[in-house]
Amino acid sequence: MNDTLIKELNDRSIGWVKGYRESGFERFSRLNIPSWKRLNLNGLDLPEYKGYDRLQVTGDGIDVENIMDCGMEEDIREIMQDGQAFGVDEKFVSMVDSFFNTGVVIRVPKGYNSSVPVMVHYPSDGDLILDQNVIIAEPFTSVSIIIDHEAISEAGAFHNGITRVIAKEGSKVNLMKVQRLSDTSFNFDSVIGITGRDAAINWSVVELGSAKSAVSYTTYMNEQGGENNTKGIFFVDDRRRLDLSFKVNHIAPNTTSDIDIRGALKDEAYSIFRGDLDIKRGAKKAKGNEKESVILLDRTVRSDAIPALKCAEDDVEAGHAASCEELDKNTLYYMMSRGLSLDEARMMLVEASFNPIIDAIPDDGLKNAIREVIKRRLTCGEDY
Amino acid sequence: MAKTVINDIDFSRYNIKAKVKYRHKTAKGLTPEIVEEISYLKGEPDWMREFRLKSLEIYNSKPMPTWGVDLSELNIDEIVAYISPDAEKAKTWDDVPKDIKETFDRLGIPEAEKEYLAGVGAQFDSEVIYHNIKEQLEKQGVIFEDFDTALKKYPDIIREYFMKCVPPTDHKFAALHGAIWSGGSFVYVPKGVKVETPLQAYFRMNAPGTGQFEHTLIIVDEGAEAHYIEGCSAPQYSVSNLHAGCVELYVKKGAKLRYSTIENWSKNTYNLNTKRALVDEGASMIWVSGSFGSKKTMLYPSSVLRGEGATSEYTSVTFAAKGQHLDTGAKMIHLAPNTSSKVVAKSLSKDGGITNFRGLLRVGPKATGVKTTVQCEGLMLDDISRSDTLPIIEIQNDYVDMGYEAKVGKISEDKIYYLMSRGLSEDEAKALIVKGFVEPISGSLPLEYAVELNRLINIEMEGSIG
Repeated sequence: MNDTLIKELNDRSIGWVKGYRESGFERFSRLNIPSWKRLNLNGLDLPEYKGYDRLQVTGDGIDVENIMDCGMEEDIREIMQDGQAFGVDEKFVSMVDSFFNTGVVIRVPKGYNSSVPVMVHYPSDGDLILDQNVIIAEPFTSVSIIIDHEAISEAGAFHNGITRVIAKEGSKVNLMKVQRLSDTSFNFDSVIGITGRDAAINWSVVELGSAKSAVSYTTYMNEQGGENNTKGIFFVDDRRRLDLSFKVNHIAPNTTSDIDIRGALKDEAYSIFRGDLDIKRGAKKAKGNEKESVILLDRTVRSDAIPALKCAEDDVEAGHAASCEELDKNTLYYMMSRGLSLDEARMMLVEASFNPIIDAIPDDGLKNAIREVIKRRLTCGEDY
Repeated sequence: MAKTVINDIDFSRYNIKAKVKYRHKTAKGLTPEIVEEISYLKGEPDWMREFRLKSLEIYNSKPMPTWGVDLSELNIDEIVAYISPDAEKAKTWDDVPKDIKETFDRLGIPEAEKEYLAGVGAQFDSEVIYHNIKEQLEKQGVIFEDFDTALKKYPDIIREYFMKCVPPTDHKFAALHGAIWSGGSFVYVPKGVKVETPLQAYFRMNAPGTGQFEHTLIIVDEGAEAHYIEGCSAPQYSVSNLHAGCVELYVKKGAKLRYSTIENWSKNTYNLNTKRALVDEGASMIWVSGSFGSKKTMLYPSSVLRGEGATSEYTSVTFAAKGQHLDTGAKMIHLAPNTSSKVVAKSLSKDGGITNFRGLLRVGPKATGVKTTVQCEGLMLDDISRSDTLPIIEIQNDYVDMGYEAKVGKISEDKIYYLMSRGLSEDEAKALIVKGFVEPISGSLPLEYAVELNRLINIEMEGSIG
């Protein structure tokens, strides 16, 4: 990925996007790949650039355009050049800004109100996916969107994406992101959401694949009455690593947020959870809560939690909780005495923890597929 | 509005300024010459002089920490590293020079000693001016000496343990301490001896623009027990003072140590202190910590639970008022199986004060069967203050029971309303709620210190109400 390539991509770009890629590249070429103490990216080589053309989209009554050939109106420029801090790391964010090779622009038109999800599917056969996604919900609309990164072969993919969500006054955006890339893949995902007055953004996060995955969600609640609920599940096994980060900025009064993350770790897996509740001065009557619980399935796993709570306003309710425990031996013993195998009993306990989140997936095919992946990962490779 | 009990207390007893008389005082700043001078004045053995010089090198090679509190206004080159008061170390208070004794009298130290302490050490600026222990304990083999005397009397023990638990390479201010430490206490409790009444050290900075770098080393041998209390204060000056002490605790097999601190440095003091305990098999280490003073504090007492079944508790209250940024917390490092730990951290912030709980909980791969809980609670007394919580939790095996909880908020209006309906004024109601909030800490202190803690809270609450 170099300046010759940027020139080539620019020639194919429309309007203001030309300059956009260039300024992204300026940042990109200035920065080094972060090493990251916990996830550890030492020795990471960036892949060769190639195009991506497997994007599939389904959705009724809604504008979904491929970012590579849509009009890119002025309001999208404003959103993409907003300048608010977000993302896993500036190097990766600027990489997408300069080289994005796919992505969608979803406009939720006035009056739209549907619980049938819009499906955005990024299948991967060892692909390079640099997706740039923009979602704009017009006032008083309601939409559900699922963005799914799925491996269709064992080949290692490199996914680095950005998703920007603008929820205008009174609107509601439910965004679910599913990551089930192959075990040799790298995944970097930077998501930012901005809520308008009385608007809600709900994140659902399902993290199952990739050798190394770094995922970051940032929400700014700039206007009164904003809401941001996050539910997530992760299953990490083998020697894979996941760094999952949420940052919620309460800026305006009466904003509320809630984070509920459930995870399970197996073999030599390593997960890092960061939850950052930042209540700024002036966010009166803000409410923020955060909870993470991880089930540890093997002696050799590692689980880190860094749940920060920053508060510059007294009239608030904010709390945090994290817990970590092995599966209860007595419960397992009881279940096995009723005729279940160890695997079945473990599966059942992990499912019990994950179910509230899996059940809420608005697509039955995906729901079953996710259950299958967890089951397969839980029961294979009993090395110990 | 009627005066309430909250407003009655006078802060001035902490603000006594004794006339600055000194025997020796080094120049400002930090050079090998100054370090050699301190070592020479103390008549130290060569190994200690070399240790100091080596630490100075480490200090110079390490960058200032970029996290925590803002240290950009702290200019070490303006700090006088060593200032010894014009006094001999005394065994009775009658031999302590009058103006220095007056300071400690007003802080209530000699009186407390008579009534309920097993021993007292009192440090004035860089040197210990009083050190005494009850005869009966001395007969049982308990050693309680000021650190310079201990270095002369027990050179082998000191050499074996000094800065082994907190090496100068640990961080920049540990290195600074290694270079210019002065004063402090050494405690040794022999096997099986239980010291039931507390030993106390009181650290007083009197001169402006100076630093205090006392070293505390406590060894509680197998099966022994002790309770050590430290208090610190200084009068208010317009120039910065620096406190960079170091506390090293060795709690041997089956031993118990309780370490209580009531810190009330003046609000021009940078308190950059390091405290660490190595806890062996079946031993117990209890930290009780009240932080009220200083301009900026970075203090993270840590327990390294390295023996099977070792336990540690940390209970703290941090109160930051105007102009204060107090960054404190506990580190619990579980290295052995079946170890347990409990952290309860309470913080209060008002008038723009900033409190920050920063903790580390680490459970190593071999530390199976660990039980641990961390609870943080922040109470904000107005909307211009800040309360932040930043714990790091690292779990490296599956057989662990860990729970973490944090919350932050203000005094509930329902509670104030209820208390007022029972006849209390708003001020009294708030003060009562705050005292209730810190009860877990005051409950872990000896009565006299709990009273002191309440007094400090009253002082801090004064003016915030009404």
